[in-house]
Amino acid sequence: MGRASVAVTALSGLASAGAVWVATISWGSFVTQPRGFLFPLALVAVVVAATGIGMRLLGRGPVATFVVQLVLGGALTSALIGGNPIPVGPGWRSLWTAVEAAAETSTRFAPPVPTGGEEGVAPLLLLGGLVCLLAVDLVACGLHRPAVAGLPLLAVLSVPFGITGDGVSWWVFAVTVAAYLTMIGLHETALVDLWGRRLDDAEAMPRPPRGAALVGGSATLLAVTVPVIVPGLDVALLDLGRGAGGGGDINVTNPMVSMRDDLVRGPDRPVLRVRTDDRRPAYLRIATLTTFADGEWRAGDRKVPDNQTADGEMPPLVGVSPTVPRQEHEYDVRTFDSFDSRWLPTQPHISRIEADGDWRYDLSTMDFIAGEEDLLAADMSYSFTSVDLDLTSDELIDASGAVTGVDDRYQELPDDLDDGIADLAEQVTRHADSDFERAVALQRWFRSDRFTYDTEVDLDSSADDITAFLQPGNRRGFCQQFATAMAVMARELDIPARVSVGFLRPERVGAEEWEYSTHDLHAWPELYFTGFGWVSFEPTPPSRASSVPSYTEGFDIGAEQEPEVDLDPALPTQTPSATARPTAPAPEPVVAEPDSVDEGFPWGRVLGGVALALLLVASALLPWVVRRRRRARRLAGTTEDVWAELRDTVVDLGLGWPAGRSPRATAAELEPHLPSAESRQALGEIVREVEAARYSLHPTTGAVCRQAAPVVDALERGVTPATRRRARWWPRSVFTRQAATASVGDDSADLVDSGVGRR
Amino acid sequence: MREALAGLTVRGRAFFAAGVTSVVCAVLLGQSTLSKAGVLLVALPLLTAYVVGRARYRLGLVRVLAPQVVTAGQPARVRLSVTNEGRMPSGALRLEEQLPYSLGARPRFVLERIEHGWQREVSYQIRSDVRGRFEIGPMTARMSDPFGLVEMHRTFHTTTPLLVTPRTVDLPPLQLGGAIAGSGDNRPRSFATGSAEDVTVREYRRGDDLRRVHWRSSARVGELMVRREEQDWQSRATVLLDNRAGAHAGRGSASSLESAVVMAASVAVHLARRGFTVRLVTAAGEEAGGSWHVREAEASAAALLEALAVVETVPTVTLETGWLGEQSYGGLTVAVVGRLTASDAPAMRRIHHHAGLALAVSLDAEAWAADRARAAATAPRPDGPADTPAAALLARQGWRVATMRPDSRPDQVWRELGARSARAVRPVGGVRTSDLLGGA
Repeated sequence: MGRASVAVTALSGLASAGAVWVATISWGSFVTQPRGFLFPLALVAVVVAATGIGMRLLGRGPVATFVVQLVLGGALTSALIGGNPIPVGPGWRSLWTAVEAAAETSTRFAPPVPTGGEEGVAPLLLLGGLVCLLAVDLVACGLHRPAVAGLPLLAVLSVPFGITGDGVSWWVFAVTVAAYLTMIGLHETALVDLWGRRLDDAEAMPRPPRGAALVGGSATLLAVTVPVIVPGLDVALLDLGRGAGGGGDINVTNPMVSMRDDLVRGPDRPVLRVRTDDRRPAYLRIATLTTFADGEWRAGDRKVPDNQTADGEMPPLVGVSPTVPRQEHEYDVRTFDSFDSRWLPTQPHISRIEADGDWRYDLSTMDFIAGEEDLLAADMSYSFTSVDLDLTSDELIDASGAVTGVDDRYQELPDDLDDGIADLAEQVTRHADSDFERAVALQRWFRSDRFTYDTEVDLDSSADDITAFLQPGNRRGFCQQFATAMAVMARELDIPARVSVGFLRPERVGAEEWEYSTHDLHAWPELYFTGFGWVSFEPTPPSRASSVPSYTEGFDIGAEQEPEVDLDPALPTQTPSATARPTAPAPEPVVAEPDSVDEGFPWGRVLGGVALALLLVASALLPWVVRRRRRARRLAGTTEDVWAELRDTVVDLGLGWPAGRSPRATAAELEPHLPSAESRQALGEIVREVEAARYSLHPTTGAVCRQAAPVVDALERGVTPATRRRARWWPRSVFTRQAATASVGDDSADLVDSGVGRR
Repeated sequence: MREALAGLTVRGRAFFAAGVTSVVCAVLLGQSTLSKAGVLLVALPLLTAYVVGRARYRLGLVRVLAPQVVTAGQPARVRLSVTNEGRMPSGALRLEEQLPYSLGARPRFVLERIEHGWQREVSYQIRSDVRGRFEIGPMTARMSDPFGLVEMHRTFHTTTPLLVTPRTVDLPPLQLGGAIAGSGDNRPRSFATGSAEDVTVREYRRGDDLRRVHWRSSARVGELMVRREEQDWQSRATVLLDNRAGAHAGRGSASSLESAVVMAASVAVHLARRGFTVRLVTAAGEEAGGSWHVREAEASAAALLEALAVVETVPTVTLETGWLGEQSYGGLTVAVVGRLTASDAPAMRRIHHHAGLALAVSLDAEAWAADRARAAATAPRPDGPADTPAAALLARQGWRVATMRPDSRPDQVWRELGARSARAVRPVGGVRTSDLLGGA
């Protein structure tokens, strides 16, 4: 065998084994440790490939090769799995045990599945890899059908989809395709070499054919990019739909659970740092709890399709009328490593945010949750623009009582809630006329002496706990209880309410730098008012939350001197507290800022688009213009010009201008294309003129232009309208350089060409 | 590009179809790997067709065949000169020369990386054992791509003809003395006993060559007298080959026609070398290339061989005798015939009368038609003119006949002819002894 064919055999064997091995890398997406099976499989692949190459070089047939490969590969696999190369007797038992354990693991665990160890799934993967290696080697190299060998490869690549729903990463696909195309290319090269004697300067070793890399590379590029670009063929960078639910919902975790631990028990660790021009940053919100069910406040479902990500402009504030004055501040946040949160802290109202990673927001809550499994807010830097609404109590009092623009779930309460809570809420707010006043009444009631802030209580936020918390003697709790109680009571009063969890107030560490730590974790209620959106309130007693929002103070809500009806009538009522202490700092000066609506008509973009369109139109029309002008110039010119025009017309119409012929012979070739006798006669006249001009002793220039137009017209009439249109708008003569009329080489040579450029 | 798409191979079409199916399934099922694979399978044939369709190559081929006329069994050499006058083709070009089956295996060549201006000479040998006229070429070129998805065909135009003349056998010189007695003034003389000194003259007729004017006699007689070249007509020979379909048996190269052709060719070459002016006549009349021309022996032999190279059977039933003309009177006629029926007797008699010396080789067509085993089993019969009906017929008319069988050699038959005396006219069913023959 020649060296070339030896090389081809070796390369084909290696390519087929390599293709399978690279394809099995994609299996790593559903196991914990891909290395656990990839390295043993590589060993098996090398053995199978070497065996195949050796047998083929010895000249054995496909069946014998397959048998030997099966024997050797099987022995090695069984040695790797069970420890015994011979799968009979004790070896078989150990092999079988390992495989059974693997099968059980695969059915029991959800991906990612453990790979190694006693119950690892590696044996199954090794066996599967061995089968695929043998199949591909047999089909591609033994039976010489490399194209069909793509089917086992496709099967290998499709396994991850069936198990986890993941696609295959692009580089695994690209390398597998490259190996597959190499197999096909090698096969074709071998076929070509068998065809006959090589006349060219052949080298000893096979070289990749020209254009193979180009075609293969572009095809792979298209294969990887087109499904991403074309909707519907979405490779889906992230599939949020797996598991329960669909439509992009995520089941979220409850930040309240960890908050208690961090706040109450843990040390005060700094968690994140903020740089902002806001002079009093407060209430950095982590997440919103929207649902009170099953005994706890939960974050509820989120609708986060993949176009709602934290990169760029945010939708307008929920429920906030555009006439509300507002002020924007830039925030640059940097989180520390310890902040293992799946929520990204932001201010409650933001207008834009730039954060790396797949952070999705829900339109109704506007909090940010991680869109990927292992995405955490630890050690991140991101920035956002917060919107400070300038709310005044007068406006809020005048807010419409009809609740529009918010979901019903914010008013839902569990059925097992104590009815006394509703009565209590009615009692507390009996002097208030509007919803806002009722909310403020509740806030003031919670902040009065009736309640004490205590982090040592053993209460949670279930219905029973709330009832217990509201008992006159038991009124001790921390922010969780206050926030949840106020939210529950607000819902009883038909005010949409929800609880937000976040940071209360940071510590100043620099000129414009603030640091939030774990002891700043806080919970507060947000209530919805039509036209003003979600408004925060602060029911936690002053020992914890020293200030309240400015719009909740500075006005009276009727007389608050009446005794209350408590849940336990035995206990005496307490005097209502005085109006809220003016502990808040002076309200910020209201800066009347013009509403920032859209940026105005985007002149730049429109002009740029128009210019581009004009450019495109101009370039499309250019060939036609050039051709027309040429024709006009030539038909009025000399004989040679007319002849050149005739040639260009023929080339444009795709009729084929014979090269290297005399004018008379050329005319003879053109005659079939001329339908009428007059045009043929005109052509003859032109030929005579051309000959006279070129070859006669005394060249004269006659009136040729008269005959040229009929010939041109006749030629054009003789072709289809489509060809005419194409000749008009895309004239070939403008684009192709006219090659020299004489052809190179021996004129007696019989020529065959590719036919390109000539019909 | 359109042509390249039409040239998609089976693999190319399968890829495209599989790709489209995969893409559709992937869209329906949402499988991302399948969609990638589908796009790849669709893109590969299309991209390949585009690349191949844009290839601009221009191959030139010059074929030289030497020698252009060969005898059967002799090799001839074809020299090809391939040039590339265009750009490098993007794939492999596979060239194959179209040859008739009888000339051997088709030579194949592969061109892959040939740049502009590349040139190469290559030659191959062809040999035919069968006579005839063959066209060598045209050469076909197949352009393919690295993955075997597209194939485009092109064919060169020119072909080169090869003429394979029948094999000839050297025949021994014969003593054909004791010629048949003719009648009339124009007594034929045996060519072996004539001499150049004898000059007889006749009147000048229009058309005679002026060089043959004998001035002395003309001066004496007062009119132009032309030297009668006795050797002229005496040295004319006619080889008659009966190529009627009904006269022969067998098929292909083992048919009796082939043996007849070999015999006729051998006789023609032999006579030409002996100085005769030979012409070839077949059952359809005089062969256009085989008529008498005054030329030297080799040239006339070559012309006769070329005429014999392309002789085929004709479906006529009767022998054409229009070629019997004034000029052929008295010359030597050698007839190579197959089966003769009673309706051929008048024609043969006319030919015999015309000829000065009439020899005939009669092929026993039945022997060719018979089974080989049966033919081998039959004991070789002693040659005798009364063996076949055709031979008997000819012998009755006065021909000198020798019978030819599949296993006879032409020189044996010729020797037999020479050994036979024309007088040996045997009645039908006569004694089949050879003691009446004039010597061996």
